[in-house]
Amino acid sequence: MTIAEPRPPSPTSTPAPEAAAVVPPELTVAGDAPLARQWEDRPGLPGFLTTVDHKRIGVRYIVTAFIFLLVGGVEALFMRAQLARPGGSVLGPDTYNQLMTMHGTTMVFLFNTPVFAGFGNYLVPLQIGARDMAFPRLNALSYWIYVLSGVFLYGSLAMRQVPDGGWFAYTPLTSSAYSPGKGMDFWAIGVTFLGISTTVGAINFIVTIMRMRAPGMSLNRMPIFCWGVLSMAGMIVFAVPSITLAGLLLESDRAFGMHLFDPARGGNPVLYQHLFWFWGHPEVYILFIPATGIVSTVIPTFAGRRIAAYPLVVAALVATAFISFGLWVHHMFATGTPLLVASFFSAASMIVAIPSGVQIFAWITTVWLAKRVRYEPPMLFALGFIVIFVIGGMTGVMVAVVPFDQQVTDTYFVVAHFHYVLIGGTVFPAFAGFHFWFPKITGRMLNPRLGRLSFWLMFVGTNLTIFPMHILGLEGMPRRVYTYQDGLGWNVWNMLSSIGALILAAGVVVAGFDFWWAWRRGRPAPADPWGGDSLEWGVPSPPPAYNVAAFPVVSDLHPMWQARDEGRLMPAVVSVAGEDLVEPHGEHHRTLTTSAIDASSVDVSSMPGPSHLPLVLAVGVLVLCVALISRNAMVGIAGGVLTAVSLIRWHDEGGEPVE
Amino acid sequence: MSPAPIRRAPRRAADRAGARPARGTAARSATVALLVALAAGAPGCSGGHSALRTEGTGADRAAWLGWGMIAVASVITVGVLTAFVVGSLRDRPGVEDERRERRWVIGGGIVMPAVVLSVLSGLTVATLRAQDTSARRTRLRIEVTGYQYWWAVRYPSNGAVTANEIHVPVGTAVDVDLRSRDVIHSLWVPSLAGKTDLIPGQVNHMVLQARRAGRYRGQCAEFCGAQHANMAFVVVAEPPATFDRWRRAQARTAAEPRNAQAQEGRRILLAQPCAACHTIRGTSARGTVGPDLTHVASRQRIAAGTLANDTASLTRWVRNAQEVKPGALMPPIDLTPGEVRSIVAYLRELR
Repeated sequence: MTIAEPRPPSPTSTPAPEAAAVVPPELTVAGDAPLARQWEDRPGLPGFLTTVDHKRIGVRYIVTAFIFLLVGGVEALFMRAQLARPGGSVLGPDTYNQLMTMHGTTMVFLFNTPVFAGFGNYLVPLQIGARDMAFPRLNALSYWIYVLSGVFLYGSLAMRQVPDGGWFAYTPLTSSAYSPGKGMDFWAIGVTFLGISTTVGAINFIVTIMRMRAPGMSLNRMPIFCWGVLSMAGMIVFAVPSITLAGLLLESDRAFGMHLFDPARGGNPVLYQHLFWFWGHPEVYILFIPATGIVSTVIPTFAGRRIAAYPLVVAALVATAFISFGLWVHHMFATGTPLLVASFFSAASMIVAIPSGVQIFAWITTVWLAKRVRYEPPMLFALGFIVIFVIGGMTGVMVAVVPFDQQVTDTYFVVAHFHYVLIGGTVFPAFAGFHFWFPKITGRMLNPRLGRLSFWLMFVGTNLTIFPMHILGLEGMPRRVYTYQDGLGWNVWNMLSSIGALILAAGVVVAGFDFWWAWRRGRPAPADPWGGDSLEWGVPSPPPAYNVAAFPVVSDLHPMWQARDEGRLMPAVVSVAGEDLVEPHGEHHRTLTTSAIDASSVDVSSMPGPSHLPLVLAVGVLVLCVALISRNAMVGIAGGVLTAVSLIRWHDEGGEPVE
Repeated sequence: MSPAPIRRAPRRAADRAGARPARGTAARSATVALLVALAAGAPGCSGGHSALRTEGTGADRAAWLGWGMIAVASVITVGVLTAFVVGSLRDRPGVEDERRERRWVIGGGIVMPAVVLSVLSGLTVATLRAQDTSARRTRLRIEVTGYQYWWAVRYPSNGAVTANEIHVPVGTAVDVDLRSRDVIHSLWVPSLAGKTDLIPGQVNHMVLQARRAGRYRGQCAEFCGAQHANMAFVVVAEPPATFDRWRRAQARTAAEPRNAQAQEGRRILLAQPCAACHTIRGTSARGTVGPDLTHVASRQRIAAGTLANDTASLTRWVRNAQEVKPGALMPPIDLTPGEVRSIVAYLRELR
């Protein structure tokens, strides 16, 4: 391995240097033709459909998720219009229940999880100094499956068979006896289909983070956002099989009369709830943990100092990931849970508040000890997150107390609680992330005045929409009602909530306009507009297709700040075992791999380039799903053949190149 | 607009502040607003349907826990957010002190929540145990069965059957057996007790104990289909003597219609599909799909709390239930206006 460095020493294992060159702080050498030739996609549509570039895929994830956020938001606006007054006549019960089901499904499955997969996709390789994700084609596959499962779920709209059994799809209400029609089939199959995307994406993150970090980036020098993504991915691997199973068993009850959940034939509907929530509760943290990773990146940047107690914050993330698997029964305290079980899950639900407390106090300490805090839009969203999330966390502890939960569960109090947690805990961090990395991703600066305007609209709107729901719940308003009677004292709070929803929507529209305008006309962004600490700020905005020409050698948790403070350039690996990495010869994508814990022993490996197989395979699985819906054997055979052929081809191509 | 005279539960002192809008918008005052808003109560009438103004043993405990937690949570929230605001607004020379960082994070993030949560956990278990013992001392058992979208209520002690109205003697802990005939429902009377699900294939139990006489509204709390929103009921807590009289009356067979129109109504009802779904004890109507109508006229409301029990509402309902509760399982039945009038006249006599 050759380390080009202005001065020694380097912390990595050090084979005999073969040459020395000075690498500029931007880790990319301008005009490095061979690398660009190797990594850049073909122009136009073929490149668009075959790309495996994690940056393009990440941006697609984010844009697609944003579109689904708008769709889910419009659904919410319709519901708020209906509920603004008692006995509303905007929607009938069927339409309301469909919108309610699709709102939840869209926000959880199609916006919230994917938006952080998008951030992870875009940022993880850049932050760890890698050229791509570990399995680039798998990465493309997980995007295509995500977008096609979204299309599939909304295909129910075209067939006018929209799922209406709630996003949680409790059986027996969702069994074929009580939900005839195809609606819940769309839900069960669509959710299972999407699970493939989430799972392969998670495995990709784990391998990328464990094996592709820059030399010297031992685990204790890894950016917190990457820790967040790693924890999220670990949780997905263990949690998603449970929802996949729930979806598959529900569908086999519906399609093949398996009676797994049918009490009349010895089945048990409560088993479904266990399967659903064994995924459903970790899912909350699957959404929340990468979001806190963003907050833990944004706050130190704008406080101008490192995050307080980094080891404790990392431990909190990992602890949350573990504890979150022991809480699921707290969604089921009203099902007649025995005393001992209820007590256990109540205590576990309280314990999970402790890691969140650690993070909150780490953020407080960070701003407290900072010299000066800059209030740019990303920081505003991060601070807004803290306000809303603290309130959501408090009500979270309250619903862990079983006797109180038996009052408020399935009421608007719980709706308020999880909207505080999910809007505050994930939407605001996502917007902090949009504003923070927009210059990096597009090479354009957003308009800070529009950013501030949209922040305040969203902040006021969120609180005005959601806060009154606490009171509604305590005053006895159950969830999932399409209407309510006059005279119960709910009118004012519902009206306030509906007005708040409009303000929130206005904030999102302003943000959307800001993004759209800046992408086309924004002021050009420098490589590092905020003074960030991690490696993505060392490459140009937007980064070149290959991310880094020379691989940085990391010896600090904050490599960019270290280079700045020491007034020197970052050392970097330019060749390994005689292979020139900056001016390569072959046609294959080459990247560094390092050891899992301390990123020391360095090796070079090949990666597959652009391929049409991910798209074809995703379409093949989509056709299989369509076959299950339409119960058409010919379609099923077509989908099976397409899937099998693309899988076989997948394993033929893209192996080690013959040297 | 609630025609049933639901008794307004007596207000706590804090509730007298009157209506005040929630100030949920202001960031730092959000928690304060929670207190103010809750203390103020909802504007207008919300009598007998609130988890905060409680008249039942179970709900009392939950309300105490709730108020206590709201108070503690407000203090913590205000403290944390104040620390944040003060910390981020103050300019100071940057401090690099890892021991101090650790001390703050461990003190605020681990020790403080651990203490608060341990106390809370102890209170939770203690309350749960209290609930558990009260369940063993009941004198009266009631069976409630959930249907899409109404409640069947049965008194096994004397065979009385009714629907969407649960009568209980004041002060007695009543053990309620909960079953479902179709999907999962959840029985909730916010002023009396927390909710318990009605799950097909199993029998759940809950205890209802009202401290004062009154009418307490309840509603299904688990999403159960198109008309989940209109699946309400009422719990009537009355003095034991009144309760016993009521229970005896509900166990009797149906009264004979006294006038010609009502007799005609009975004839039509028994000849039409009505009898296939409804039971009127003492007649040939023995259906079990819909509510027992033997004493329907004695109830305050019909269609699971959706309509007042008067001639106009009954006429609307009998003419076409789907107009009132689209998606309810009672189909439109082909009747002339005269036939509807006769049936309603009969139903009005079923006291």
